[in-house]
Amino acid sequence: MRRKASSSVVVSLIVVAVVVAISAAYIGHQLSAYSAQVSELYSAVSSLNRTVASQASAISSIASQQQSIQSQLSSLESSTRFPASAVDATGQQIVVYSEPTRIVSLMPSDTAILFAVGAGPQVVGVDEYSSWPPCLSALEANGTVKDIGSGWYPDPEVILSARPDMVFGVSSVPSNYALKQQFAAYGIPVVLLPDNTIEDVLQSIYTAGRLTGHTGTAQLLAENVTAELSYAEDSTVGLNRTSAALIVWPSPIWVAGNGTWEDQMVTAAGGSNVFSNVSGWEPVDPEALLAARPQVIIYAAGHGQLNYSEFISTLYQELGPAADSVPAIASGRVYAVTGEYNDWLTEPGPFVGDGTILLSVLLHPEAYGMNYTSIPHVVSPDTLRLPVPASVPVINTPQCASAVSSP
Amino acid sequence: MRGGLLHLLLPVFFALSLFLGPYGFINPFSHGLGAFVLELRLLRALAASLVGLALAASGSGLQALLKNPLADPYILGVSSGAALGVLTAIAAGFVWPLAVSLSALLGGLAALALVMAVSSALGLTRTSMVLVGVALSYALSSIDMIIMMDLGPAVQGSLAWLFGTVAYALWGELAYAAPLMAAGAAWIFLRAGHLESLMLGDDVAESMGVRARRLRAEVAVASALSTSAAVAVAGPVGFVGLVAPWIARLGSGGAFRRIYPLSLSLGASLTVAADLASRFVEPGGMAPLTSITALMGAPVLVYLLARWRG
Repeated sequence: MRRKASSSVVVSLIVVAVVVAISAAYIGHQLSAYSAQVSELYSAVSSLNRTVASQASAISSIASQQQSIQSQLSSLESSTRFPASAVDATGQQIVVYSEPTRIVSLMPSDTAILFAVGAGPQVVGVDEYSSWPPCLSALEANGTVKDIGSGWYPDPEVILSARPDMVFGVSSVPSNYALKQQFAAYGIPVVLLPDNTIEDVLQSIYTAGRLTGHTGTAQLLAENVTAELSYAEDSTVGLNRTSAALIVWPSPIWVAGNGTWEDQMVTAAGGSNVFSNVSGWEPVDPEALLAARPQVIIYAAGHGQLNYSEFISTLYQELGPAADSVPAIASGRVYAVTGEYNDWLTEPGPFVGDGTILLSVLLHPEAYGMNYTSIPHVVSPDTLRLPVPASVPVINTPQCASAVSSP
Repeated sequence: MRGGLLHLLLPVFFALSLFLGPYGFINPFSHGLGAFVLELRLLRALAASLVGLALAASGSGLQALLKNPLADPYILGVSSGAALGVLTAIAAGFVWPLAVSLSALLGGLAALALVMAVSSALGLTRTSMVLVGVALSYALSSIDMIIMMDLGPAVQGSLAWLFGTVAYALWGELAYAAPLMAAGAAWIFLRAGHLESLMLGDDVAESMGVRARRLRAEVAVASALSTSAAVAVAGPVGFVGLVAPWIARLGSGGAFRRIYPLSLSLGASLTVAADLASRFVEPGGMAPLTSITALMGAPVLVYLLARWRG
């Protein structure tokens, strides 16, 4: 009985051993299969890694290709900017075969338009009255830009000493025509920009942009001007028109009359020009102010002319006590506009839109939640902040750093 | 022949005018821009010479014709008439040199014709004719001023021209103005002999076969022709027509035929020198030619008068 029991133990032990052996063998087999799978998996992962790496390098090579294509495109684009052509105020078709790099500007409005469309680095000479952008004086000081003296009486030889390949003037100055004819003999185009109306200013922006290779910026600038004009118009729409006199020179009193861009600005700003019976820019008798009875007098005080109190005392000297019968004088709505704001009212340049907003504030402060008593008599960027319309393309003041570094 | 040396002034000033300017000295054999500047200087010097010559011719002719040493195209209203022609053209919107020049010619001729017509209608003496000219000159200058005020800022450009300048001269302008100026000057020279007899009095002249009325008309037209052509090129440049014949007379003396060429050469030198000075008086600012011809001519005249009296 004991033997039987022990033998059954042995048998069961053997069975267990066999089972264990079999299962161990099975497990071992399985394990090796797993490890093969793992190593397969490893190799698959590493091959995947390799693929990914090769893909990445392919992608980066595609990216670099894209970059080179882009640069080729932009160089192609810049090469397609020229030849460029535009018709100037004289009706002459001006064709430019390569980018002008030595531009001379005869008028402050030309200079402002050129810098605003981004052609600043190409400018090598400006007239004595050009003052915008503010960094211009630094360029003149370090010799990058030459002061060519008067643009009203330009000296051809002084302009030539700046070695220009293009000159910008305006259509309202006869001597600029004379210069155009002279320089035509040597093939230096003198572009006369029209400067009578706001439409002229927009035309000038497009023309200057096209001929200097800055069509895109010019387009943006024109949109900026147009949007600012409609902003001023929309803000004052439906209000009673404020009668206004715009005085561009104090003694004798010169006013902006009918057919001027200033007259259009007054209208767009919700005003009515009391001197719209005068055509162009004209000196008027001081007594004309008594007859015209403007509600607001806006005096562009310029640089170093009469200041506000001198201007007021001149009015009293010339009109006597009768001056008080002029509503603008009686109610204290006489404004001397100085600083950069003055240029907005005296230069047919990129700021006609801003100038119109300024006028709309002076003529209709109520449209902007202001009272006219809160507006200072001396109006400048320091004394009066203007509303900034949303949704108007922003034109940044050109910085001259790039211009300084370029040869 | 102390007057003969004065002829040398013209080539001297002409040469200086080619070599001096805001652009600096220019090698005569340079190419490109330098050559163009040189060409502009040559054009200026030629224009100034011709303008000075024409004004001196006109002044000499009028002085002999009217037997009045104060006669001068500027004083007689011919220059203001031509200037009125120019301003009218600009006011009407014609700013191109050709239109401006033709208009100047019409204005100048009309002014002198008016002076002569009024004088002969009133039966005035030739001395009084200068007075009619002075009156007309003032009237025309006033109209010029009114038109200028009316033109507004645009006129500031033509203002430079109104004071006289040869800076904007063009070959094309000179090409048709030069023959007119030369023709006027030559016409007066061809009548020099007759003018000398006329100076002795109408009766003497008539007895020598000179038809006084016709001679006066001829010299007047010749003067107006050369003055208007000069105004068309450079604007109304004053003082040259008055002072050049006087300097010639005081510097050389003698008969009209002898003084006349010297007066032309002196008129040319004075204008060329004035243009040269204008480049440096206010570089880039274009000093008006008339003020400089007066500044340079007046002391010379006074000096010569003082020497002549003493």
